[in-house]
Parts: sequence; structure tokens; C-alpha cells
Amino acid sequence: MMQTSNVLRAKKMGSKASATLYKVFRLLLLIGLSYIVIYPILSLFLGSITLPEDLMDESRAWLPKNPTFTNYVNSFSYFKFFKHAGITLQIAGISTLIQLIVCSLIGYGLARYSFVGNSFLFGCVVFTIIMPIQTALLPMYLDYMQFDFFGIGQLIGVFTGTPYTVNLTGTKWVYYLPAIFGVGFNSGLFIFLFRQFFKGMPKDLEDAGKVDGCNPFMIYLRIMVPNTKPVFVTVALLSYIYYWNDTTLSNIMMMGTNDKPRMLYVKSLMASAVIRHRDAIRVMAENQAIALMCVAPLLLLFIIGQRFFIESMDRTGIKG
Amino acid sequence: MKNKRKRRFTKQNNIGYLFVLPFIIGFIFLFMKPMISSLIYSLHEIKMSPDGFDMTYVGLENYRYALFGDAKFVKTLISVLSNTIFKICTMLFLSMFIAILLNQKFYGRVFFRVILFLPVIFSADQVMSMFSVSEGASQITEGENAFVSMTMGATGLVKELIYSFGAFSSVIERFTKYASGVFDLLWDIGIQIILFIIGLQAIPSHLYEVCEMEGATKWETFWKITFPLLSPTILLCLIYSVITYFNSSLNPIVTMINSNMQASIHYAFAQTWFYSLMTLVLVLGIYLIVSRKAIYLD
Repeated sequence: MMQTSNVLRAKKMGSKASATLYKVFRLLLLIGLSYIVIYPILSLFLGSITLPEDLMDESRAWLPKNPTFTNYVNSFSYFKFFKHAGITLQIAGISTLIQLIVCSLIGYGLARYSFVGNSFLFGCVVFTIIMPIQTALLPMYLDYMQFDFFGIGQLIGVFTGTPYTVNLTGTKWVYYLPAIFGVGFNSGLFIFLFRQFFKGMPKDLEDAGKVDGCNPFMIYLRIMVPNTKPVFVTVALLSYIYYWNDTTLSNIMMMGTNDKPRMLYVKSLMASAVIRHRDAIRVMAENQAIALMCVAPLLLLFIIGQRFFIESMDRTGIKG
Repeated sequence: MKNKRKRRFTKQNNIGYLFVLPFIIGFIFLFMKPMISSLIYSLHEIKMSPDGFDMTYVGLENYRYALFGDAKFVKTLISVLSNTIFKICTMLFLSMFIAILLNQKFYGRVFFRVILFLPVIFSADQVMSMFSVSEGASQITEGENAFVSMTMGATGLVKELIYSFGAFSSVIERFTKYASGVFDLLWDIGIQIILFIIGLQAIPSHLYEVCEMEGATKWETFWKITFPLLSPTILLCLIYSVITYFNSSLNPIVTMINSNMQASIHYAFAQTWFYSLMTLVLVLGIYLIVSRKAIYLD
């Protein structure tokens, strides 16, 4: 009796020791991984508060000798921070909202209704993810320049003689319109995501809704949406980041206007800054500051929304 | 009776069309229309003339040139493909591993989740190209070069440390090579980690309780419960990783195509179409193979 309890205690102590060892190992591992991620970001930040003259100094290992915000102040003289931040905020915000609604509805339709051509349509969704947007940019530009409302404008032309077209390039509709019709930035991916998660939901829930007399849309709104919140939050965040960071689409669609989205504006600014100063090192130092200011609002948003975002991952509705 | 039921069933399913209607319209008019135009362009030779485009039909000549005339294209294609398999596997393994770690309850896990998601926020090309500058590189490098110098910076410090202890240099070289690999990967897997965490959360907890009651070890629980129920997420992450890797602007093929866009646009279109169709076949292949093995809770 005595012996067995001793053995048990030894076993318990052994498992406790190994658990502590595991915890230490896990912590070290995570710290190591975080270091890899943090390092370039930190050094970018430190570079941005270094004087341009000190930037090329070999003896500067980590901390700047005299930290200053000169680079930020100097770049503010030509970098219109608030104007372009506002434009991007609007474009990214509205597009994200549209994408959330549209992509989740499409994903729900694909996941739960086995109508004729379902798998074909799903194939089409995968196709939209795979085809790089660059392939269609030029024809897309030509289409938006003379946008005919899906052929309706042409139809009007049959009666009136001149087809009714609108030039959409340079307007925000080049972002909103594809989003409304589920072919916006990375829409295919989001549809895929929603479909995958709706498919994983137990069917009993919907049957319960049906018994209670919900119509299909109500089932989606009242049962599916509340139970898949983490996917919604994830998609919202990703969509926002994609729209915020996009330059591929903006580059061709918005180049001519003054209301450029942030990243595109910065891209053209960085190209022109070289000419403005003729001092490569100073340009470099200021570009670092500008690059950081570009992501700063996004970072701020993430830090504010982080609680909800991270927590929502823990609150997935269905648990058995 | 049976017939009536069947009809009702199909009628109910037709509501599905209502949900996907926007996509059908968007796919045909906003997506396929420009895509088909670019496919048509790829079959022509386009010359810029004062009054717009000058197109002459050349058939599959552009494609023939890409495959047999342009040695660089095929060579890059093969190197990208061979990299893909290794890279995607490590990406999946690493992101699943990190997600499982971050899904455990311990002090400070929110902090680590935030940190490991940061690369997604900093993913804009403009910001990425700046990373190399902060390393003191003499000129603004772009794309892959930015990564190289970033990696050198991150591992350089560790390298110096180990050198100071006087270890074998060949061992260090190998070590830093692996470390650089992890570095590149960590900057690509932010989203996969999130997807895996969501997938892990969706596994019903009562299954784990049963396992504990039956006396299964953690290892057994992982292979009998976690892994099978994670299979839909694995499929999702697999396809997501393949697609983002293939379309990333750091991919040598994409850089090549983008630079061709300025020089000869018809050839660039032919290259993209060939490349994309290849990706499509690959992804559909993966989907068909893996989805058969995926287990859904129903």
C-alpha cells in the first residue's frame, strides 16, 4: 500500500516536472518565433527615428545615437497624411462591409443548397481565386472606361442610336462594384472560407430553424451568422487589410486622379521623392517614416480590434 | 407521394440560386469578360500604334514561344514548382504547430497571437521594400532581395553570438540557412495560423473529455481526434497556401510576367494564362485528392 502510493507520488512529481519543462520550452519557442517577426519591424522603426547622417554609420548597431522625429516632421511637409488616409479608410471600409454581406450569402448558398450546377459554380469561385488579377487588368480598365451596365447600356443604344455608357475609372465604383457582385479583391477566397465553415455547421440547427418556421434568409441571419462570428471577423480584417494595402488594382484604375488611395499615393510619392531631394540617404530615411505611417492606422485598428478578433476565435459557437 | 416530396426538395434547393445570383452576374460580366479579352489578346500580336492597338492573329504562337522558345520561362517554372512542394509542406506543418501551441491556455497567449499576426498587416510591398533599407543596405532593393537582407539581419545577431562561443562554422552556416527559411515562412503563414486556430476551436470539447476518460495519451488524442477533425481546415490552408505562393508578387514567375507586361503584352498574357491554368489543375488535383479524405462533423 505504502509502496504504491510512493510510486504514484513519484509519477505525479515526474509528470509535474515534465509539464514545467514543456511550459518553459513552449515559452522559449514562442519568444524565438516572435523575435523573428518583431526584428525587422523594430529595426524599421529604429531606422525611422535615426538621423539620415547616422543611417549609414557602421557603428550604429541597434539604438540610434540621437533619436529624433526629424524624418517624420520633414516628410510631413509633402506627405498628405490625412487626406489619403481618409480616402483609403472610406474605400476599404465600404468594400469590406459589402464583401462581408455578399460573400457570406454566396458561401451560404453554395454550402447548403444542392441546386443544379452548384459544384460548377464552386469551381468558378476557385477559378477566380487562382487567376491573377494582372491578367485582366487592361481589359478591365477598358470595360470600366465605357461601363455599359452589363449590356443594358448597349440595349438602350439599339433604340436611341448611341449606347449609354459611363466612365467609372478614377471613381470609387471600381472597388465597390466588383465587391457587390462577389468578384472583388480576394472575394473568391472569402466565399471559399465561408462555404467551408458553413459546411462544417451541424444540419440539426437549421432543421430546428425550419421547424420554427424560419425562411431561408432568416436561417442564414439568425442561425448561421451568430454561430460563425470568428469567420466574419477574420474575413473583415483580411478584406480591410487587402484593400488598404492594394496597389495592383489602384495602379491602373486610379492613377489619373488626385484622390489616390493611400498605398498608391505612397508608391508614386516614393518614386518622386528621389527627384525632390536629390539626397538618396535622406529620401531613404524619410521613406521609412512614410512606410511606417502607412501601416500605423492599420496597426492602430488591429490593436483596438485585437481583443474582439482574438477573443472571437475562442468563442466559436458550436461545441458539441 | 414520393414524387411530390422530390419536387418540393428541388424547389427548396432552387432558393440557393437566389443566394449565388450576384456571383453569377459578377462572374460573367465583371470577371470572365475581361479574362476572355485577355485570352483573345494572348492569341494575337499587339503593337502600339498612334490610333490604339494594332492586332494581328498569330494563333498559339505566343504559347509555343513560352514553352519552347523562351528557356528562362520553363526554367523558372520548374524551379518554382519544385520549391512549392517543400515550401507548402513546411508552411502547413509550421502553421498547424504554432496554432496548436497558441490554442493552449497559458499566460500571455494573446500577446503571441497578436505578434504572429503582425506580418499580415505589414505585407504591403511598399512597406516590405523598406525593411531592407533599415538594415543599412546601400540601395532600395525590392522583392526577394528585401527578404534576403531582412533574413541576414535577423539571423546575423544570432550568428555573431554563436561565433563568439567558437562553434564550427559549417554548423552555423547550416543553422542560419534553416533559420532564414523559418523567417521567410513566418512572414507568410499569419493567415494560416488564424485559420487553424478557428478550426481547432470548432472541434467539440466533449470529444476530448471522452478521450481523457478513456485514458488516451495526448499523442493518441491528437491523431485520433484533432488531426482528423482538422482535415477540412488543412485542405483550406493547403489550397490557400498554394494560391498565395503562386500569385505572390515575390514569386519569380510573377515578377517575370509583370516585367513582360510593359515589353510585349500579348506574350505576358500568354504566360499568365498558361501559368494560371497550370495552377488551376494543381489546385483542383489537391482538392479532389484531399477532400475525399476530409472528415466533416455531421
